[in-house]
Amino acid sequence: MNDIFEQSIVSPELIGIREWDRRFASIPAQWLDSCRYLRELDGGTKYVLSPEHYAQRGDLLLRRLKYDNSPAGLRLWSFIFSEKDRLFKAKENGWKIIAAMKDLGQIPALSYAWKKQLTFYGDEMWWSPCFAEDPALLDIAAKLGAGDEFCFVRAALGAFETLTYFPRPDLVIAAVGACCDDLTAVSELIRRRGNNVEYWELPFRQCRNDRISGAVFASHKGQNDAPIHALELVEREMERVRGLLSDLMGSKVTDDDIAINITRINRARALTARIRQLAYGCDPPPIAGLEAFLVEFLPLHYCSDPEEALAVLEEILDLCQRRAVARTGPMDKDLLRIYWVTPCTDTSIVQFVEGLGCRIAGTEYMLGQAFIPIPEDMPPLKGIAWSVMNDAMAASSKMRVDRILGEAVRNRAEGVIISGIFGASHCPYETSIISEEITQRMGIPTLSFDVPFSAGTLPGQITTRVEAFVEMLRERRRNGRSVQ
Amino acid sequence: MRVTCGVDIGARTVKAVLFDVDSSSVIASEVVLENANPQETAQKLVERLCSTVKGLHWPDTVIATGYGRRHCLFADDATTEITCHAVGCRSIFPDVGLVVDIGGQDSKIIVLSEDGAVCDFEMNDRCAAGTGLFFEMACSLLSVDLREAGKLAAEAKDAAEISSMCAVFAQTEIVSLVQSGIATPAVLAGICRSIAKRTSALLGSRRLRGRIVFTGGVALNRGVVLALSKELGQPVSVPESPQTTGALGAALLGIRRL
Repeated sequence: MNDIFEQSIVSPELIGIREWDRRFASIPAQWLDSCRYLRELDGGTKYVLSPEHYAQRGDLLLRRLKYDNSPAGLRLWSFIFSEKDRLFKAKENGWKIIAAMKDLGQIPALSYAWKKQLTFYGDEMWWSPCFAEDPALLDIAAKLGAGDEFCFVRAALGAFETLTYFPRPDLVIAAVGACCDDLTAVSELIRRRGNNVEYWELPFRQCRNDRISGAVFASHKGQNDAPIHALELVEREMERVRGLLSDLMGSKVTDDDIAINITRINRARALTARIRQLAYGCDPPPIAGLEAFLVEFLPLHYCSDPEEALAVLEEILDLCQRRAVARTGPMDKDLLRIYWVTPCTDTSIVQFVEGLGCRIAGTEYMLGQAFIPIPEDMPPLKGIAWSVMNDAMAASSKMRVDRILGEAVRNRAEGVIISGIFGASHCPYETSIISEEITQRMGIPTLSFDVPFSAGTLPGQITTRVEAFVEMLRERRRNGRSVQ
Repeated sequence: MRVTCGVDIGARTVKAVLFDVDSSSVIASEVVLENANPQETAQKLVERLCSTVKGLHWPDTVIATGYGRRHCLFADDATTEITCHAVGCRSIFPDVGLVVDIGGQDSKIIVLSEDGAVCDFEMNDRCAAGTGLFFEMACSLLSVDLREAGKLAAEAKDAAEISSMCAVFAQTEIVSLVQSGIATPAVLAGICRSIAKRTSALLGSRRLRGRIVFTGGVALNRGVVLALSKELGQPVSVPESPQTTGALGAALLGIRRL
């Protein structure tokens, strides 16, 4: 059998948007029909389309990218870019819409215990200007008080004004405390524009060896040690959020309902963790860096449809496993192994790096806690509290460095790229700490740069740095100074 | 005769070097001002240099570097100016440990390991302050010939304080200094010191090793050379032709293709 599914295992490749347009007709209609979001509403809506369909709606960057030639990859892209359709459809059908801000998967662990609501990731707007190749959201944010000095999440402020990416949320739940100052400022600006914003406090997670406050620590298998007072605070805050959600939804959920949701979420986390292992560890990589990038964001808020997100992840995992067995992938073997720190606002940089003869061999996109299962052997809100304490942003940079080194060593990374988010308050101090620690403890080069907004092209300053970095890594490998 | 060519298409100038592989020497080089068509400028420059060498129609290989490297369609390959400056400087000063390159558009530091490989680098971003273009604009404001400015700055007894982090605001500051009666050489010396400070800040916590080599068009400015030496706490070496070290490195890298 040499259909498009089999072809994607035997001859994986990265193809442009025009080529996907051409090949789309060869995808079996039955399979396309089986991919549906929000199945509870009229049996669901078909969404797998050629990337050109989504480009025509405004995400012009899609025209410059290359895509995995598998139907599973196309499904992943389509699922991500159809999220706004789900949000509007749900709203039209009377469902509640909840925006979670500075939330890396905690609130959905609670909120999806309720039916007839969708919880989306409000901060995700940070990548929208680059995908749209249009600074409109940033310009609106600037007029409302969040200019260039703010992180790209200020695009969320613009999106709350235009309401073109999502309908007005019934409730915005935003973390404050141990997170970016600019995120908090943006949340507050959103509240001041008349949105229903409720805050919960994310406490700073000390390390056991900090010994600065006399805090008493607790341990739990598979989780980071955490101060008991911080765990208790988060548990109380989650109880309060549960109350807010009960008021919004007009119904209460039991601990058992939340536990069932957590089990489903853990399934998504396990799938993502396994896909990451294969994508970053196998040679050749079974999927390219950008597909892996999208996968990493799925277990945060499931692109507003947990059931379909699970199906998307299962199909990607199946693809990765089959390619790993067949030792195939869309890129060559033995490419320079790059570890990537902090997600890029302009995702085309990932493909630019790959185009220079590199592959991604691990990432620390500050999403690490979303791949660790939420403990299920305790009351669910306590479990969520443990999960919150795994958030890298709630701890010192050391936690991020340890995560980076763990995976970078395991996958024999030859260089580390740290792409700072222009204006993000944590980037200026954290980047140099991470860079120095990696150089000292692992002895491999690092490259750091901030990614500014640029429509339709990468700034020469960035391309020159990246190319020079790759030349340096290639020379190191030639001289036998990198781990083979 | 086997000849390689390096072409460095920068923001302000185009540089080319012809290298005779057999005699291991530079046989021709030139720097010309950039115009609206750098690719054409570069091609004509290479053709002109070739015409000065008896029997040479075209180099055996051409390597492009600089910001315009990807648009140099007649080149056989392209390499970044970071790698090229490192290779070029090491061929002149084998004990180089740090290259400071300040061109028209940017400034960069390149750290070399003992075996001569690039092991780290840093570039300025966000602002043109600290680049050749900034110095040019300042000279224009002060009505001073660019070629004379470095000499004037080097001879100044004092240096005015230029505190602004932004090239545009720095211009306002320069106007203000002039209006308050500060002598032009002192203002120029202040600008040189400001450029040197910004460049040395790129070093961060990196430790210095070996010789420091200063390249790029700004290395022709004696005032900046002195200020940079002072800022870095050790003398800096300037190649005889600091603008062409990138093109030289490209030509040397071209040998690998033969």
